[in-house]
Amino acid sequence: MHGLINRAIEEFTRATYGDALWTAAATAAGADPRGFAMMRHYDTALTGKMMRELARRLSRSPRELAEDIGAWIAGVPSIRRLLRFSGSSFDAFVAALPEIQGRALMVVRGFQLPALSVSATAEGWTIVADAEPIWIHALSGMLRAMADDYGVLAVIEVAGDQLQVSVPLTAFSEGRPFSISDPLLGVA
Amino acid sequence: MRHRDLTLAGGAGLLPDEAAAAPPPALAEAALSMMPMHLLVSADGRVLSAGATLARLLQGQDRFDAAFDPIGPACIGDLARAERVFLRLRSDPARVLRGRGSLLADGAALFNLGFGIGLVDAVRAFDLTDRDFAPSDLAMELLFLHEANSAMTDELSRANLRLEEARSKAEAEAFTDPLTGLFNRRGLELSFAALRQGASIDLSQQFALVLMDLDHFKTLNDTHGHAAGDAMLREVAVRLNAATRAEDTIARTGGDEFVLLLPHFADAERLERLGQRIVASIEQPFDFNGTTCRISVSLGGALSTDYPCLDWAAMQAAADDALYRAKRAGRGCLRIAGHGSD
Repeated sequence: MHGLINRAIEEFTRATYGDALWTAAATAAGADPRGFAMMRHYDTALTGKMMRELARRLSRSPRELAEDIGAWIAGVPSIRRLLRFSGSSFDAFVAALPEIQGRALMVVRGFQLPALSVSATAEGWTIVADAEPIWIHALSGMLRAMADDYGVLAVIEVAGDQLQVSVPLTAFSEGRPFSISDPLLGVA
Repeated sequence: MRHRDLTLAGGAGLLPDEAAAAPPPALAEAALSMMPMHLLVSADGRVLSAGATLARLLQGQDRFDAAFDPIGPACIGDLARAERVFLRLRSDPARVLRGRGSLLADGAALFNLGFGIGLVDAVRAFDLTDRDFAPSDLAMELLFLHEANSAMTDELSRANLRLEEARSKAEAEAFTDPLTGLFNRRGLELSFAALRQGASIDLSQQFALVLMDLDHFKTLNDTHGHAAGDAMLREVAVRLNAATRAEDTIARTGGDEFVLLLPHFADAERLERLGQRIVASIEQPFDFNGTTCRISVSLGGALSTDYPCLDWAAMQAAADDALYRAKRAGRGCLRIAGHGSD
């Protein structure tokens, strides 16, 4: 697993629940409590262990946790901006999800995200990830946050290993302002 | 719901909903509508058509000459035939558009232009959005990479800073005696290396080396316990700090062994006076949990001015000899190598 993914889990935990929880879970999982290095690769099993240790301490399931992490990542100002670059509307954003894997690899060598495929349905889209089911849960959290960001009302449901997305209302709220030129406008 | 055509979505702009309703345009018109950075100029230099994005740069200018200062050929016909054209904006001379032209049958010229590497700056200056670029243009991808690159660089800088801090801390610990906070032997060597480096530049650099042992420290340890011994060592460190200058190095190199490295020190009498001050200070009674403890100290010094060239080993040996003489003379005093007698 790429260090950036592990770092995201770490940063989410520290920011949301504090350093003490992070240190306890990392120690129990056998990870370095000082934190993950972002440009290193780690054993994928360690990431799973980390997620289970965190989930147990929070009395949640790893999938619920993954969803929270997905939503949190989409709110990190610099990442939120990179995500907004994928499409000028929520529709365009969802349609461009298959590009995310390529974008990640283009920015950071070896940063392998799961391949996503999107197909149109009568109600909206079906998204499938070529990865462990937990990724779909992380993606559902991220999509919910992005729907808010674009100001659309979206129904996002995990069905088995698939994600069903529909948008009953495209102009639900104003969404958050976004300008491709000025990062400061995006932070707000 | 609006269009759900996945082959079109993901790109940007130029997909108006009303497009379906209008009759299909002629080829030229269709082509120009897909080129937001095009410029069509008549043979006599009038702007006949400009793409939506380029029009914002023109700010109403309708003469080619008034809007642009071409780099290279100035005549529109030659520009249109060139492999690459570079057009400087007169309203903003730092901005150079690049592209290529094509000479049309009636002498008019069609240019398709771009921002080149100036894209990021242009987006900021003209507040451009993804709708200002053709979907086939890689502008958005370039902006994405620019942004991603900045984010990664920031993140790496932060990580580097953390490593740097951890390294400084580890280094400080490696050179420090944890009990007293004084330098340890490695710290002393580092100080001496720094002193020698300075000395090679400034040959007048003169310093004194002083070795000191606490007198009967073992007895104090045996009588009052190790805790008392440790407290005493910490107290000695405090008193040595008070008796010396900020530029002096004080190290604890063993159980009850201390070393002073005193730069800008050439005078034996002055060193003698410092020795007396240190002995007097260390001999002050010291309270440990209600018990009054006393200790004294023997010192052996050597002055670099007594040596024709900087010889660390010889100075150490001489200071050690002097320390031995101090002990033989009844302890609680300083002896200086090559000065005074037993």
